[in-house]
Amino acid sequence: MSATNVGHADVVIVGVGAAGAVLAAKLARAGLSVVALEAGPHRDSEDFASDELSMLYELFWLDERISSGKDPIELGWPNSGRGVGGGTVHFVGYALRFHEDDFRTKTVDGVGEDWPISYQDLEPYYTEVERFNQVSGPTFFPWGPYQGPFPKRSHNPSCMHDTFRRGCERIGARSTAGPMFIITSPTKDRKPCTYRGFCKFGCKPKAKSSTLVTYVPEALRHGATIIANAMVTRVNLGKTGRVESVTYVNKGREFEQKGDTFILSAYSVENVRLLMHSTSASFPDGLANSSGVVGKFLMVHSADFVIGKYDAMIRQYRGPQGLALTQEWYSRKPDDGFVRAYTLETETLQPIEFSKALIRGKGLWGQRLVDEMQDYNHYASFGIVGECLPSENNTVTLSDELDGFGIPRAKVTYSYLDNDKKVIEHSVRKCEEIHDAAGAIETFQYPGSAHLLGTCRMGDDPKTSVVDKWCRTHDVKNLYICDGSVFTTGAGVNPTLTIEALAARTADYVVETKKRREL
Amino acid sequence: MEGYPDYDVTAEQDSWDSKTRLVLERRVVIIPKLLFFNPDEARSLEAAVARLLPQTRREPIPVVPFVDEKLARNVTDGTRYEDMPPMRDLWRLFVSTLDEEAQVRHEKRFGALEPETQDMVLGAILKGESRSLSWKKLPARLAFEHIVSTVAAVYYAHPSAWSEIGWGGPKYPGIYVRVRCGRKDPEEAGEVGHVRD
Ligand SMILES: Cc1cc2nc3c(=O)[nH]c(=O)nc-3n(C[C@H](O)[C@H](O)[C@H](O)COP(=O)(O)OP(=O)(O)OC[C@H]3O[C@@H](n4cnc5c(N)ncnc54)[C@H](O)[C@@H]3O)c2cc1C
Ligand code: SF4
Repeated sequence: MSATNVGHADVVIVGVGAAGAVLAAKLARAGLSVVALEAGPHRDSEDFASDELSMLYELFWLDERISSGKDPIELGWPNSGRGVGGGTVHFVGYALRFHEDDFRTKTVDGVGEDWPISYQDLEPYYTEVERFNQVSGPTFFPWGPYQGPFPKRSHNPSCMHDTFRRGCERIGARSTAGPMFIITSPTKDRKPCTYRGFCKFGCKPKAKSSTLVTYVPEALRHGATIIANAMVTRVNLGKTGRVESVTYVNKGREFEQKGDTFILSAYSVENVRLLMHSTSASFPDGLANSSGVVGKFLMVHSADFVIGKYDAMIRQYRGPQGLALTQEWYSRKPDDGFVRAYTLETETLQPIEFSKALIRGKGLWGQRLVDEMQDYNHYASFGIVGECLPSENNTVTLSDELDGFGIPRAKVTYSYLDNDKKVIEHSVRKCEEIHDAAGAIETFQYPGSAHLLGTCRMGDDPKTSVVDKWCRTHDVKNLYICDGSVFTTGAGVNPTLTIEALAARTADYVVETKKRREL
Repeated sequence: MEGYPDYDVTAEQDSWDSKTRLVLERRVVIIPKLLFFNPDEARSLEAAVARLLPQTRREPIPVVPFVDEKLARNVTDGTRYEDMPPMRDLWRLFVSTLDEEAQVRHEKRFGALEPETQDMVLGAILKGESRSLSWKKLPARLAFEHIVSTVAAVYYAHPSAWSEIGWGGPKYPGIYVRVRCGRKDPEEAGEVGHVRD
């Protein structure tokens, strides 16, 4: 190999997004030497422009992926980030815990799969990451196992949030200001939220707790090395059956990073691409893939919007991009005609995305598009986060086409299952009811999906899962996978709080394992 | 609902952060030279864009140069649907279909048709009802969405479009204060013919 050898670390992390940053911070804090490799740049929040278009092209993973299936998903803008902080740089910041039953859908509802861990296993870690992120939330959260308190008081609502909550109240549904990854009391280097609804385009004031401004500085403070613009292209297995190194490309040159323990946190598409590309005599179908499950059971959340038009001015550009939510219909039972869960949330659409909503949702172009855009300030946008069940047929595989690094492009195949469609139907109808009750003159649906989960799923059985309950691969002792890709099921909430809690838990396990000199 | 004729979002630009001002100044001042489309193609696309997003302002917001720039640099949106050609091929095909379709139906180039006729041709293409075989093979909905939303993204990234729709602008370091229903900050747009905020 012509790669330059750049040394050895106790732990090598691939991808510095939500999970990667938590891992780097906690492992470095525990005194381990950590090298974290991130494909994208390490930006300063001051470099963000308060501008939708330029940030759409700056913050997202836009290297093409091929999308197929009956319900092909959009993979760039609404789905994955690139650069230190990963998807948290552009996430809206809803900070929701799973409910207890979300970890055992098979037992409770006879669908999906049970996680090998329970809510109780993760509970202390939810608390830990909420504290570290200074999550702001309501005094009382009405659903699920945790009612609060949250580290910081919640944000003030703006007109769109009030409209949502008014509608909920009128149909007898409880609603709340959500727990958010957005601070309400500024600190020395983090300014207050300016209420301009830009969370998806990088938060310039650093009010939003992306890992870029929380765990990454903590990791650096404790001596972790974060190498930006380092695209990992291969995971190299040694003769002993342990991972020996990873190969990465930085500014056109190839390097080899050695280490004791390796953690992949490159999210649900890139993890698979990396494993599938790292074949060897012992793993002809991809590293850590003796089960054949790598790349299978991909899950999204249905993320349709229902957008309502009002006589009054809403001015949805104001306020945090997300804030008000309800989980009033969270646990559906067979009597409802379907099972599982969803959350309804407000989410600001800024002008460009709003135009896309009119184009996709209403099929508009020409004068009618211009006319509806003219009424931008009269619209309010409510969104669903609907659980989609795992299916072996929803997959990430390699295509025949190579990218600029010589790695085959990912092909992502997605089709909704019947139950998924019923979740969408029900949740969309509830959004419409809320709009109607709040006084909307008309509504339309803007279909879409969000989040990528489950391609390296967690389980006790090495034949049907890729990692164990500590996120360690069944096949390779010193290789972990830890991020959204290990989800066994997706629940009906935004995933990042759970991703960070899992990472915090895995970090403790890695430290303990090292202490016991198991490795 | 009659719009915001007196509102100019850039009146507040001195209060915007320097990075944002730089990005927007560039966007307004530097119009990219055509590198991807040839002059004939650009003319047909101009004509189509004028129907996809009709503008009445005296100084129209330039759209085609920015679409051309995106294509010249091959800046994709991250997704290629399986039945869709690569982005650049899609646009070339769209432009050639405009003229082909205009030729078949009216024996003229697309740009030479009356606006109403252009709308009919465009409508047929967008619905996947064109007679051009190569366009017909595409998933009509996805192709339509890509073309129109690319054009709209350029348009609604321009401060003049923001003023037109009464959008509040890139707030930072300033803060929105009066954000509840029925209230607004003094610098936000007031709508003509609308009493209640
Ligand atoms: C528009 C939008 C809004 C969202 N809103 C919310 C929300 O409100 N609440 C919520 O909980 N979640 C939200 N999410 C989801 C959230 O962004 C993701 O769940 C989260 O970022 C996933 O974390 P991760 O650690 O699994 O991966 P990521 O954060 O995606 O991190 C993966 C990192 O790995 C890097 N990488 C990939 N491949 C390589 C490689 N080969 N070599 C080196 N580095 C590599 C990537 O560049 C990236 O930085 C939102 C997502 C989007 C797109
Ligand atoms: S709305 Fe608040 S949290 Fe969101 S980007 Fe703006 S300042 Fe940051």
